[in-house]
Amino acid sequence: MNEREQPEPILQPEELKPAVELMSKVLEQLDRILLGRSDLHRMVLVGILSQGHILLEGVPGVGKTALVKALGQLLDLEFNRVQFTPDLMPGDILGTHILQETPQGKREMTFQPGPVFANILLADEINRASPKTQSALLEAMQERSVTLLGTTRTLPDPFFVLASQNPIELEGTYPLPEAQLDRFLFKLVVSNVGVTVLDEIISTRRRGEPPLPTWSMQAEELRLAFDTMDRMFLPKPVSRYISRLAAATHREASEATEDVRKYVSYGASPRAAIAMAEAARGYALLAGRPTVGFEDVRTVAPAVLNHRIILNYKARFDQADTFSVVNGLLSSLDETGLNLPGDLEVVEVKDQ
Amino acid sequence: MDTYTKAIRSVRSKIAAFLLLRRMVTFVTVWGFLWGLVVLVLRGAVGVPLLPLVWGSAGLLVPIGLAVGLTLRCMPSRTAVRALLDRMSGCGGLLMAAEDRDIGRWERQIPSLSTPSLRWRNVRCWGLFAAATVFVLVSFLVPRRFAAIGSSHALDVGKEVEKLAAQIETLEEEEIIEPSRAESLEEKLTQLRLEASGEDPVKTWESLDHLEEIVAQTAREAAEDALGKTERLTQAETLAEGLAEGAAGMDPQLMAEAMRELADMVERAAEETDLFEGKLSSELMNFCKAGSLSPEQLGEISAALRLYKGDIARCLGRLCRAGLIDIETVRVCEELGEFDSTGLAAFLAENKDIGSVCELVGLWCEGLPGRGGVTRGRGDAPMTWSDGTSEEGATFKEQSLPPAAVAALKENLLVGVSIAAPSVADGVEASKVEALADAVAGGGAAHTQTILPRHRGAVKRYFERR
Repeated sequence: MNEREQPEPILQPEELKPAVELMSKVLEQLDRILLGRSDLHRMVLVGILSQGHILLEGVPGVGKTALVKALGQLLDLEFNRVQFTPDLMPGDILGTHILQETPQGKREMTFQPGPVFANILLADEINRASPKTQSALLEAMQERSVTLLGTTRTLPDPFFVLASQNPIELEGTYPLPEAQLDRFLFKLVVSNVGVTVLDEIISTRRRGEPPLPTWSMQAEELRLAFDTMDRMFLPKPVSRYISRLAAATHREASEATEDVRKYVSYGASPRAAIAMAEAARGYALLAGRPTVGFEDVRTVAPAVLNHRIILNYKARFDQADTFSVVNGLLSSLDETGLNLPGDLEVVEVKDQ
Repeated sequence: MDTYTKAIRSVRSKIAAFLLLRRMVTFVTVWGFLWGLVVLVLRGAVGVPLLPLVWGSAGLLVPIGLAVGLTLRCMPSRTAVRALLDRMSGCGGLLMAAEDRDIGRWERQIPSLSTPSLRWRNVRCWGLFAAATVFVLVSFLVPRRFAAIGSSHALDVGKEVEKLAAQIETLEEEEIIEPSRAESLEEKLTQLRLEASGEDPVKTWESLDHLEEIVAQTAREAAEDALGKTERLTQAETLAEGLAEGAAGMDPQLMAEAMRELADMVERAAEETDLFEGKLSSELMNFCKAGSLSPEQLGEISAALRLYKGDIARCLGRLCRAGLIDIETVRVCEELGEFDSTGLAAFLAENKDIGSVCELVGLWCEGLPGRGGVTRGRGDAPMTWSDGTSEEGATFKEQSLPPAAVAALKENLLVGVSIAAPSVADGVEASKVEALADAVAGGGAAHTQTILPRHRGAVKRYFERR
């Protein structure tokens, strides 16, 4: 995000409207293509707007690949899918040099780009690949470029990595390192659909094939959405709240909860606070507001923080997960920063 | 924007008011406990009266002022209050953004602000405040004797000390103890009075008893000494009077010896104490030593000795009034001071071969045997021993005991000891024991115990000798 020294005026309704309408259309299409997951689609769209990478966790067959494919079609972005296997090599993702004969008859090494050179890379079952292969994505995700044999090649813009991992069948897998996990904006859990949705899928779609989108976004429209995102305003109290929230995930923080002190080994990094701010902007855009509110932060915080907080063995023993820790933090931390004494509380009264 | 500013100001003021009230109650509670403690300490340890302590309530301004100052310093910021209103009204950040930026047409979309109310869970706070108030009241109303801490209760020994001081003064005036000794005792007494404490009365009483014992012992010794002197003076006076009365018919040699003895007695009296000074002239003393005293001069010596005895008696009387000696000692002194010199000269002449004049005078003063009389005391005759009685020709009358008594003697057992003389019962004697009243006892025994027929076998087996 570009820092602006001059305070920009807030997006006016007519300036915000086009982007909001675009996103509404995308959401509408996603909801039509993939049934029963509006919240998930919203969060994925927030991730796209924030230009962040997303980690999808879910059992096989819940529609992770279909979602990413649909997204690629809707946004008119080039989409590549890589099935990560234990024998996958970094060159299989990034690309490799091959010896080729030119029309002039000369032989030279030609770079053959890998599947990473796309707008959206779906890394299926990323935790099945070796750490060496996983780390090949690190530079690509952070720098949005690939360096091979001393030559840095920029990846297409926009570039997203939507990775998936299977929460079961953990034998023979390599858990993603914290450094790579921290580069994902969200970790979203793709759960099973309900009976009603399943019934509709079975009834209306042969072989479960989703329908094709009836509309797709143009590149300029996507650029417009990104530009609008850049102008979303983050009020000072909200940014302060995000900072306090990220800081409170550490044991030694003054505002850390009992669960944090008991279960957390390592808290969220500053990258988490940045991710929260961006994601909150995206959520506010989807809500049709030019400013970010506290509720936007509370909505995106679990998805941003749950894969960045490292719990200790005591949490495993007590069966505490990051969601419970983050939810506890959200319920105890006062957003406004009034710092009222414990026996004094503000009660909402319905306006007459 | 005025609406928002007013709403923000209103909420901020409300929060500030609650915070101020909470701080005031807390600080006043703390101050109340402190004030109550100070009041208790001042009343108990120092004995400060109540009225000045009430002025401590002016210190109430301190916690109130402190609460006001802290509240003003820690007031919630307008930004925070704006954020609170934004959140509670669902403005989605628009109200917060309006503080820094012009939100333009978005202002129409800001919903009406809902005014939050504050809830203060104040039970504990007010409870402590009530406790502090009660504590302050208790600190003022509790009787001082309960509040007194560390104060020593003085022990009132004034009466005993005064009595003892009077006794010491009496001893000093009578020259029984030296002034330095008297002063030392009085100093100890004064110190005892100052240090007398209710926490350790035993120590005080023991010290008093010790001083009393010292004083009483001194008085007793002085009294015994006075009795001895009185006795010697009486002997001297008796001799002087006796010589004055019977000088005409006495043997000159005996007279001379008596005079010398008298001179010794008077000289000893003069050496013992300076009370004798001024009562007898040195010229008379010289005549006494020379053994050439006329009856008139003997009378002067006698009068001087009498005066001296009178001084001693007065001294003992004063000691008795001071409670240092009992009245019996004074009576003994008076008795020792009485004498009868009539016939002394003849007695001396009759018994001059038996002992010295001094021994004879002593014997005379103690009282001769066989004189008796009311004023002379009983006249105990001397015990004289003659030859023992011979048993030659003396016989005992023989008397035979009845056979039953002889047989009964063998089976006699000690059943008791009586100071009454044993007597032989005539015939049978009825038992005086209740259960065995009027039962017939065996005859011939000095003491019998009636046994019922059914008990006889048991008693016989008990006393069977194996």
